[in-house]
Amino acid sequence: MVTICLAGNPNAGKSTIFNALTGARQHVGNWPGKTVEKKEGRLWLDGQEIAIVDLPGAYSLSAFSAEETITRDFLLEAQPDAVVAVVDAANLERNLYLVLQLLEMRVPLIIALNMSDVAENRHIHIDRERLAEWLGGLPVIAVIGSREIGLDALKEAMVQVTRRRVITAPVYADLGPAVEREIAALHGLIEADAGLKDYPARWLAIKLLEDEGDLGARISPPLAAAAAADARRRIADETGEDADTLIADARYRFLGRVVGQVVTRAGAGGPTFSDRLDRVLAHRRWGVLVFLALMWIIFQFTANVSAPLLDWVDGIIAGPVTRWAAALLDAVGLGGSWVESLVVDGIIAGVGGVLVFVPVLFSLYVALAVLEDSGYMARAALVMDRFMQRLGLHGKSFLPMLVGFGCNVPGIYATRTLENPDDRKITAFLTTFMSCGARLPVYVIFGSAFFGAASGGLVFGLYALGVGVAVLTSLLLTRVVFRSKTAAPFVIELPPYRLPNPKTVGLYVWSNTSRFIHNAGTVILAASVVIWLLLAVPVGTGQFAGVAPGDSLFGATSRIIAPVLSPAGFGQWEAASSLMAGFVAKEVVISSMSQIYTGAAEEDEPEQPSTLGEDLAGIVTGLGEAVVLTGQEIVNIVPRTLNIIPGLNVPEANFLGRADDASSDTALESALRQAFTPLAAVAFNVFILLYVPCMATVAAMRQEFGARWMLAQVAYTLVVAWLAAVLVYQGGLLLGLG
Amino acid sequence: MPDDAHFMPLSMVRPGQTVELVRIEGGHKLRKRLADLGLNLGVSIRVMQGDSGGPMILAVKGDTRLALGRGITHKIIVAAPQQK
Repeated sequence: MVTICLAGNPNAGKSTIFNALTGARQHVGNWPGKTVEKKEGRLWLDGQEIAIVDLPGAYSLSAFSAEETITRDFLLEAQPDAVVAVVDAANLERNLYLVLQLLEMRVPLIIALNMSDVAENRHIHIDRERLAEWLGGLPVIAVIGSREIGLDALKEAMVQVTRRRVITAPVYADLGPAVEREIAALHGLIEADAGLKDYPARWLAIKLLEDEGDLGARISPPLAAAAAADARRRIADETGEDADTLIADARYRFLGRVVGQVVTRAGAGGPTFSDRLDRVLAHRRWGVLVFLALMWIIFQFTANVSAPLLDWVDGIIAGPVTRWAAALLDAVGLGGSWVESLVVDGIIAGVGGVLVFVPVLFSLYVALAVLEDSGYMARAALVMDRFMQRLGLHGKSFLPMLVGFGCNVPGIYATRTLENPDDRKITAFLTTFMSCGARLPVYVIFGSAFFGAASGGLVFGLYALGVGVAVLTSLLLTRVVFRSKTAAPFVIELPPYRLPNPKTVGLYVWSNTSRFIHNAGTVILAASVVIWLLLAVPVGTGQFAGVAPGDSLFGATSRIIAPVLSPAGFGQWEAASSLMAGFVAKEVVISSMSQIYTGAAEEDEPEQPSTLGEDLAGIVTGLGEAVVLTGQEIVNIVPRTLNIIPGLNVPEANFLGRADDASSDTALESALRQAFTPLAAVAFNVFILLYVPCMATVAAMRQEFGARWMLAQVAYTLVVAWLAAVLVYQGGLLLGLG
Repeated sequence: MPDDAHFMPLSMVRPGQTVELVRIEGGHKLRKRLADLGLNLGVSIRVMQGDSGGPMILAVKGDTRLALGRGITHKIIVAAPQQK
């Protein structure tokens, strides 16, 4: 298949052009072994289907970041049939720096001069024919990706270039006598070497002179690499400058000449709209305030605004879907059998429990896409950088952690906005210590059972403890595990602000949400079945799929684990099995506790037989209600925000006039008072806070960082949770609080 | 080229001033990274924002805006424009 790839600087508008070309016919995955996104799409062109690969944004073809290494290696190894270099017309000189390197690689190149409207607005005029001349006669196409203008011309150029596979006349910047002399010598050496025939000779020579470590180590025999080391020394001796500085300098001098002849500017470049906006948004005090306000709004969206839709999905899964499945199984004569238990209690409950997060993720991704596409994300990183640097982290790490308070799962996915893979891993590690919404009900039950009116203190203390553990973990990881990375300097480009493109936002949300759903259908399905099996297999007497939890393999395992927990004050098998159930999701802790502690499951409302029609009507009216309630939650962001101010108590809107169903779990509460001492209850809650948040986060860790990191995370959180719980319990005993 | 007396770290330049990059006191990697972003020798830098403490926002090559942490701005040596 014909392959065409898009290359360009970050923020040059590559994704917009990619989306405009491929539409929904795209697939997002990861580059093998990397945490960098790989976007691939299809396009019908010239009577055949061609593959479009969106290469990660790169400023250069060096190997200093994962993105740049991927771009470079893809161009070297995959030998694409054409490369579309997306160039930001309003930022021509710096963007052409990458183009110059693409020219050195001798790839079949097309220039897509993007955002020419923005350039024109700023009175920047580009003489395209002149530019094409300078670039050796390459096709230079003016496009406006966001408005899908110029795409036909771009496609036409793609057809022409792939058909002819013609590479235009070489265009090189003159790198100065000292460097050019050494390039000529290396050039001969490289061409004489059969092992290096796949490399463009001049490009490789320059890369070796620039001292690109990994390339030098990769070529064998390392003859040329050794020769390059000598050459670098000679250049430094002769000119007093390092080769890489001379090369960058010569390239920019060449580009300065090109831009001087191609670009005409009317009027002096005064402060732009973005510059004016940045006086507030990037200000070191105002900027922080704006950032915190935006984060608060996003937090409200993931935590509250998406809640009605989440309840709606939950209601469908727990109600009609479960009923239909049961009815279907009844119809084929499997009602009441272990198959029904597997399908209803195992698969629907397990996978459904994860699918209910779809609305949360959806709202998060909309927010993230808007922040990213508007250009704000770079400012967020800038204003938060000073605080995060103290923890050895990047400014952008703040966002995933904040999102984690709503739900850890989108928090882990939100680390995708970080460029540095190590920063991503550390941030994901920390995110799971942010106490998510699902853990809160557990604290509340224990709080009201043991501490009555003082339960708010327990809840607040647990949230604070989570943050504290995250800070300590960050210091541990950045100072010990990733010691080599901490020096990463803060340099970031601030792209001009722009209105988010609906198509870019939509496709971002769609591709990320669908990936999550796909994950729920595979990894989480398998895990749900395993846990169901453990609960179904009886130990000793009993019937398969018909045993009480205490007599199942699950219960037996809990009995084995329980002694490990006794130093923390809750060494009963009941506590252990609640924690094991909590491994699946913190939402199930309460329900499994009431099952285990009070003997019987709190029965759901008596099942009313309902027809398919009634169910469908219920789903539709439920959606209507959910939409109304979503509106209510959006409105309620205002009172909730104002109520932060002490003394203020603005009532919240209540569109449907319903009372909060604050069901008091009194039976469970008194059972808990029997089973736990107050101190053990606190220790138990500390454990709930800190250990593996849920199966969905484990799956997210695996998807994002691989099995090794997933296991490290599971092990680390278990150890930390155990240590903290034991510390609280034993420390409390010493202080006489037992 | 101005003489040595006019050299100073970028961190000392006040917003609104335009200076010329003379030298980067850092390793190969830092120099390369900065050059890739548009901070090469001789480039003209206008400081847009950044007084005391926080990161600096720079304008280079016309419309490119870069934000740099304080740490790096100490390592970038610039020359003030000649004063008559």
